[in-house]
Order: sequence, then structure tokens, then C-alpha cells
Amino acid sequence: MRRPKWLIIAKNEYLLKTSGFRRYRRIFPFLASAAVMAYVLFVAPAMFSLASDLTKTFLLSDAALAFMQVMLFVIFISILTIPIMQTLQDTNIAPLETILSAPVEPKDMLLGKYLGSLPLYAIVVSVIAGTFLALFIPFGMTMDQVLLAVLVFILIVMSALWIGVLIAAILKAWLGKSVRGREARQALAMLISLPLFAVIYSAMNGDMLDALQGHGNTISGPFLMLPSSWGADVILRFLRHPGDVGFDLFSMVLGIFGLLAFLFGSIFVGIKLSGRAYDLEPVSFSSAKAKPEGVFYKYVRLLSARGSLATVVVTVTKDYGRRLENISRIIYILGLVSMMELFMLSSLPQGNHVSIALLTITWMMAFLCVFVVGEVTARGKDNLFIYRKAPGGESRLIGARIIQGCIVVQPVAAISALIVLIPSKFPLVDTIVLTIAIVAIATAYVIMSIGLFLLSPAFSEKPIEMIGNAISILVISFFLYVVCMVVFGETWGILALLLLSLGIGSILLMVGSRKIKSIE
Amino acid sequence: MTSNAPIITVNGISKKFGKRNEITALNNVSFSVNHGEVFGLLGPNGSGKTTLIRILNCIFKPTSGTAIVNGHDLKEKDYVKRSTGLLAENPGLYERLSPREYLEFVGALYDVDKSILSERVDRLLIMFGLSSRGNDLIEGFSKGMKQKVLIAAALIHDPPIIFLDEPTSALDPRASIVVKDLIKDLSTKANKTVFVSSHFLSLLEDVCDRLVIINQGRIVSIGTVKEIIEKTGTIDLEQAFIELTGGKESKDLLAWRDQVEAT
Repeated sequence: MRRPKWLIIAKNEYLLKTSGFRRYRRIFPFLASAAVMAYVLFVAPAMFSLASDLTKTFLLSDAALAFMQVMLFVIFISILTIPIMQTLQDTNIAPLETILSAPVEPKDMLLGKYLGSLPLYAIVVSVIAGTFLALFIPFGMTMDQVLLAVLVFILIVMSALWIGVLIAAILKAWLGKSVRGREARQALAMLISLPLFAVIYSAMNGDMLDALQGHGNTISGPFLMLPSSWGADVILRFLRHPGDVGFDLFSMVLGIFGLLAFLFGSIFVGIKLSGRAYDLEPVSFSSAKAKPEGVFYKYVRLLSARGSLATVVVTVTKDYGRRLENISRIIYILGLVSMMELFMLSSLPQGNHVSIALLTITWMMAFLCVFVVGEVTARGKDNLFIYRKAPGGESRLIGARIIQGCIVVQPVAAISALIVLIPSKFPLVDTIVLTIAIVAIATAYVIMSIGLFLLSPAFSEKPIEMIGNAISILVISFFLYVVCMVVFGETWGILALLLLSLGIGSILLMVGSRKIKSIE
Repeated sequence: MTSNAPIITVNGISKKFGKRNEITALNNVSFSVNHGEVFGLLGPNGSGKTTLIRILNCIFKPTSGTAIVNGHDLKEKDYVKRSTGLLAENPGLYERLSPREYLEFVGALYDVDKSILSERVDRLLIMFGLSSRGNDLIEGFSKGMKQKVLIAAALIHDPPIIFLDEPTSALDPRASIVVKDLIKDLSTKANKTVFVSSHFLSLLEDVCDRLVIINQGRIVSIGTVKEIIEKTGTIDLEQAFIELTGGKESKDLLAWRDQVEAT
């Protein structure tokens, strides 16, 4: 008997997802189940038993519905977004040709991808459901109510994952039809998480709770349309009427059947749309053309003292700027800073506001530096060897990367600082001084990052060195900030932070330059 | 053993790409491939070779025209797909799988019976010298070893027709000889039809019973190597290829140095 193709693809997907620990694949389901059971039965109840009075009061209040809606919405959006991000980041579509040359239908591909991802998401849903149930069971919920609540969680996660897999497949196929689209895919993978952060920040600050409760109500209407809200409504009904599964039976049945209808409806629509995904036929062959150098590159040449160094700087800047993923990282950083200001920082007291803002911006700049100057070796050893072959090439590469890093990072640092400082209504002089200080610290991080990446080169996009260097820079920048602020206070602390980061950066740059000149 | 019965018949296939069909990849291509034949496909970059192979494997649909593959029209996708094995030009592997897992996966996609799949995988791994690495992840393999896994995957369901798009492009000379011998054996001993696309003229000269040369989506010549050379009045396949596809123009390749000489 022939096995269904979706089952074969699902098994393959599971093997791919678990290949990181393939030796333990056989015992993994048992280990995972045991760990989840231990968490659900012992850890989570122990955690929440301490605060049960507090939670009881809250869960019986009017705010609980909004809270539940927000939590389930965050879960819904997160599980929907993750497969999209993962799929868009994966640029390798070549295995698709092997599969499409076999007798496989697009709907088999879609179902297989979905079902293959489910086991790992089952762990996530168990932990989430277990956490909530540990909160709910002390309220006296009966076993049938508990099981129905678990069903609600399962339906929400399954719906979100299906929609995520479907959107990812269609987006990938659609963007894969043109050269520019393929490039945009990676850029989109990063930016797609921004709305998710907006939701999470908004929820953390309580703005969303206010809105849901009707204070300045602008988003409760659309929220009620979402399946996560129907599930929240069912669970809250159980909490308020523990032991009485039949209370307002119609609404409860309507909620659960609504979720079931949403899941099967979206699967039906998805299967109908699956032909649009997994299509290798290109639509556009037009490639992007290099435009003549404009004012910006003339300015870059001017900054680089003309000559051959200027040509190297302009070349690396062009190579950087013409990749949409790089531009998306800058937008991502500015987006994060704006959201933090909008949702979180603005509600803090004035003094704390500036301190935390400075910390977060300098941290963000360190994060940006990793992506901007991490490129110093990220395009592979071949790229580096082009410079090594030329006389004095490595020095010119390092110089060019420092200038290019500054050209990219300094304006972003200035804009980020102004996003935070202007709304805080600081005196103009203080705003200018703090902005200059942040730009200077960001410059020091450029030097520090280049030094670190020369010392521990990352020759591809996702090697362990890239992650290691990123963590190192973030940790160094965090501790430098804390030490400087504690030891020198806020005013002199910034100057100390600048000098210290510049000092450490210079040492790393010197040692790194030696390393890269001798690497074989 | 070659017979005169065609196993692939291509009738006036054209393929256009773009929103307004502005790019013609194939233009009214017709030919046939006989059962058991090793058939070569030769053409410059961008001439439409890969597009043709994708059409004959039902990955792309032709804009017009049709083809019969192993007695099935291209519209009978599943039958055509079961009749063919494909080594793609830019093949993709699931690198986080082992060769054994990958071959079992591809075999299952083609409905190879579970009772024989495992043994077949073992035999293919032995044949390609991969049995000792059968459980290692593919990500650690060299290009040549990956190519061997992909060729094994094209053979896993034992199809009557095998398409090999640039089969030796990533291989060292020794591995290339193995592939060359394999192509010959598939045709002579296993009675398979092998459709090979390659830039390596020596490979095509050695293994092909006949070949077709395409340029800018059109067939410019078809026949045995000897016939093509005779038709073009040249002395070898390389010259015949250049004669048929252009590129005869003799440029002064050192003209760029005039400025240097002047100074």
C-alpha cells in the first residue's frame, strides 16, 4: 500500500527539525513528554500555588478577559510569525526541484511541512497550556473543563501554525519569482518580527489591556474577530463557573465550534491556495542595475580622502547598501528603538527614562555593529583573499570597513538618540551633547566590533563565531555601561564609557589586524 | 540495447517566461529519443537546456507543444514523473539528513516498496562508495560526494529514463569516470534511456549515441557526433559546436593593453 505523500514529507520535515540531536531522536519523544509532564504536574502548580490568592482576585476581575485575550493573541501571532521568519530566512530552494520532479502535489508539500512541524510545537502548546492550567485548576475546574480548555489551546496553536506555514510558502514562492524578490525575502524575514514586538511591548506596558478594556478603545473590535479571543472567552467562562461545564452552553459550544470551523476552514482554503506555493517558474529575469554614483558616494569618497582607499570604501559601501537585508537591519533597529520609546520608555520617570534610553541605545548600536562590520569577513575567505593578494590590501580593507561602519552606524545612532531624547523635553544643549556622546560611543563600538571580528573571523552568515562575537559585544557593552554609570555617575560615566570602549576597541583592532594578516 | 522505438517524443515545445511572455526560452523544439539510447543535450549557457529538462520532468509546463514520455503525455504528470529520474543542474539536498535518510525519503516519494527500499539504498550506497558514510550528515560531504548521493537519488525508483543535468560538473576525474561508466552501463546492461546535458564535450562524445545541440531555444543540429561533425564540415565536436552556436569571431584579446604599451 502506498503511503500518503504528505506523511512522507512530514516525516522528512521532522527528521530535518530534529537532526541537531539525531542520536537521541528515538528517546526524544519520551524525554520531551516526561519533561513536559513534570512541568505541568509539579513545577507549574508549585510556582503558582504561592500566588494563588493574588491570581484568583485578578482572574475573577474584568481585566482577566482582556489579559486572556492578549496572552492568547500573543501566542497566536508568535506561532504564526515563527514559521514565516524561518522559511523566508532559508534561501535554499534547490531541494524543491528534487521533490517537484517526484509525483507530489503542492497540497502534500504544504500538509507535510505543517504536520512535520507539529510535534515540536506540541511541546510549546503543552508548556503554555500547562502553565495556564496550573493557574486554573485551583479554581475548582472539573476534568471536562480542563480538557476543553486544553482543546482550545491546541486549536489556537494548530490554526496559527497552519496559517504561518501557508503564508510562508506563498510568500516564498511569490518572492522567488524575481531576482529582487529573492533578495527581499531575507529582508522581510527580519522586518516581519517588528509587528510581533509591537504587540508584545504594547501588552507589557498595559496599553493594550487598557484598550481592550475599553479605555481609549481602538483595538477591541478587531480583537474580537480573532480566534484567539473566542478561545479566551471560553476559558474565562470556565474560570468564572468552575464545575459547571454547561453554563451558557450555547456560547461555549459556539466558541469551540468556531475554533474548529476556523481551523478546518483555513486548512481547506490553504489546500486550495497550495498551487500558488511551491512553484519554481520564474516570472522576471530583470536584474538590478548599478546606477552612476550620486551625491552620497561622492560624499563617501570625500570622507575617504579620495585615492585608492576611497575606491575601496565606496566599493564596500556599495556592496553593503545594495543588499536589502542590510537595509532591513537598520530599519529593524530604528523600529525597535521607536517602539521602546512609544510603548515602554515614555511611561518611566524622567531620570530613569534617560538612563535606560542611553543603555538601550548603546546596546542597540552594539547589536547593529555586529551586522554592519561583521561583514568584514562574512562573505567568505575568498573575499578576504582578494585583499590579501593586493599589496597592503588587509590594511586598506580594515580602514575601509571602519569608515563604512561609521557611515552606517553614526546616523542610526544619532536618529535613535533623538527619537528618545526629543520626547523627553530635554534642554537643546543637553540633547545635542547626549546625541554626540551616543554617536561617539557607537563609533567606538564600530572599532571594537571590527577588532573582534578580525580576531575571530566569521566566514559565513551563521557560523558559531558570528553568534559568539555578537554575544561578546553585547556583554562588553552592557558591563561597560553599568560599571561606568556606577563608578563615575551619569555625567562623567558617559565620558568614561566612551574612553573605555575606545580603548578596548583599539586593543582588539590591533590584535585582530595582526591575526587577519597571518591567517591561513 | 538501443531500439528504434522512441521513448521520448518532443513535439514543437515552446516555453516563454515573463508576465507578457517576453522571454523565449524554447522555440518550437521537436526531436525524439530512442529506447535504451544515451542522448546528449548540448548548448551554450542560457540556451534552454535546463528548461527543456524541467519540462520533460513536469516541473514546468510548456507554453505550447507537447511531449510523450514513456507513452504518457506531459499532462499525465504522475505517470511521467514515475518514468523519470532527475539529477538537477543545481541540485538541492537536505544537508541535515544522512544519505540513507535522504535516499529513503526520495524512494518513498516515488512509492518504492518499503520491503525493498532499504536493500536498494544499501546497494546504491555501496555502488557509489558511500556505505561507510551512510549515516553521516550530508552537510559534511564534499561536492563530489553530494553529487553521488544525488545521482543515487535519481536512480532510487529504478526509472526507465534518467535525466542527468551536468552530472560531472562537481566531480574529480576519477569520480567522473565512474559516472561515465555508470551512464554506459545503465544503457547497455540495464537498458535505461539516459538523457545527459553537459558542457563537457568529452563526456558527451564518449557516452552519447546521439545528441542535439540547441542555441537560443532552437535546435541547430541533431544526430550522432560523427554526423554533426560531417554536417558542419569541422574536425571535432568542439569546432562543430562553435560553428553552430556562434562565437567564431576572432577578437584581439590583448587590445586592452594598448594604453599600457603607449605609456
